[in-house]
Amino acid sequence: MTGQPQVVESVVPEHLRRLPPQAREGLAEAFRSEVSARLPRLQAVADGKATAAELEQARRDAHTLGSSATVLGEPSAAQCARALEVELAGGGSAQVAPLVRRLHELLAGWLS
Amino acid sequence: MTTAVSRELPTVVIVDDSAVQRRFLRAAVDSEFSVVAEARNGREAVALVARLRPTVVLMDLDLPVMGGLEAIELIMSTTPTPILVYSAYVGTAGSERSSHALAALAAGAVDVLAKPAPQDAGRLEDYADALRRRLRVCARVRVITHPRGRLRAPQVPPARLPSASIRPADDPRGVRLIAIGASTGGPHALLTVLSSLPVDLAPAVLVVQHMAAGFVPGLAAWLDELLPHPVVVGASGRRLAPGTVTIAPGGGNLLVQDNRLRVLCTPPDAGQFHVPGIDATFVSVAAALGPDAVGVLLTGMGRDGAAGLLEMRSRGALTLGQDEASSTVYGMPAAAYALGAVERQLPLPEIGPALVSALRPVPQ
Repeated sequence: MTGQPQVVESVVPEHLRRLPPQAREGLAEAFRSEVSARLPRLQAVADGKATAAELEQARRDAHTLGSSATVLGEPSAAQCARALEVELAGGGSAQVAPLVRRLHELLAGWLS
Repeated sequence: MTTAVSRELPTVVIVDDSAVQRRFLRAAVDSEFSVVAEARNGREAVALVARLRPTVVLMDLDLPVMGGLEAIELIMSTTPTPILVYSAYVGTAGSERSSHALAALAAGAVDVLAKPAPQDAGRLEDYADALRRRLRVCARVRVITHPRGRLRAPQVPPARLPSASIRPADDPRGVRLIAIGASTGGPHALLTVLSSLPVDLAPAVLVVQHMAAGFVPGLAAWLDELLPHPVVVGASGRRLAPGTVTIAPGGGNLLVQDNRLRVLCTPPDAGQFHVPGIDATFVSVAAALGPDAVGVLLTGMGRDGAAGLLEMRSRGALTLGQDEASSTVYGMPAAAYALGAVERQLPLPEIGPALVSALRPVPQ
């Protein structure tokens, strides 16, 4: 995806389509903000030099992105974020960097 | 953030550090509830609940600044309010975070709902329906003050309790199985009852707790951590072990097959609302063991377990029911009492000692 995605009707989950337009836009805007704030922190941790506190923040970031991606109808990103959360909860591993890269690819279109 | 109150609707405070989740939850519940405030962390939640006194609180556990568990403790010790916890941590046994959900229940939260998983993305409307239904139930629950720090099992020195033993096989009147059913408010009630039992408990214990299948391993792990008795999840074809607490697995019913305490997992009956079903288990216990069992029905909504407990009593088993004052929801035990299924109705703290009294002391 390139640029900022509109909430394309054809991919909007059914439950969201029933929301008033302003509520849908509000959800999309909130998700854009979350992705823009949390994805860079995950990228920093993927470089492999995180403190324990930074790892915990990254775990929470992955956790939040996973839950939010589910709501916004991004199941692949949600699964990737959940897998990343598990790796970070375990203290980090060689899997973190590729998972962060993959998550970045899946959510790039939501970055502000 | 606070909003104007619609006087006709019950009020809710939403607690989640994710703006997306807060917006989604607001959209999911605002047809039936007035969302009076949103909190981003546990500290904000405690302050808002104290100030606004909502009908119910909808709270995530994984929160910054002050975690959800600590916030629940504080709220329940100062301004007790029904709290519905929703959590993504539905893990396997031994998962620390999945046990946090159980700890939240022990701290006084009324119910726990699993967050939708990625594979549920196409069924979020169903999730929203389930959320509203659970929130409606929680909003009607009468909660009581929970003193802070009451997460640990009461420390009862084993020397204070009589030892108990299974009676010889040729004497059929010994208690061989304690069967316990519970629903809303169950985990805390179970911990209270089970922690009163002697360390060298001889009968097997079988627990049927209404719970989503994914939470059952966490319940077992949480109880295993806090109790001196081993706690396991039941498996079809195995025998219940003396002195061990077996939790019925989710997704179906757990039946006692015979007087050797072998169990069988069966699919739920068509139209069965509560899974695992307490009635199904109790009826099987009545058939397999008759007077050699004790049945206990604890807090919970609905009627599940009432008919099964009556069956147990009709076969000679001792039957106990939790009283209204100590029940989170006096539904199941009330139904059982009305049927005449309860031989003794007791406050929660007295149920464990009553069980101990029912166990035959070891002859000296």
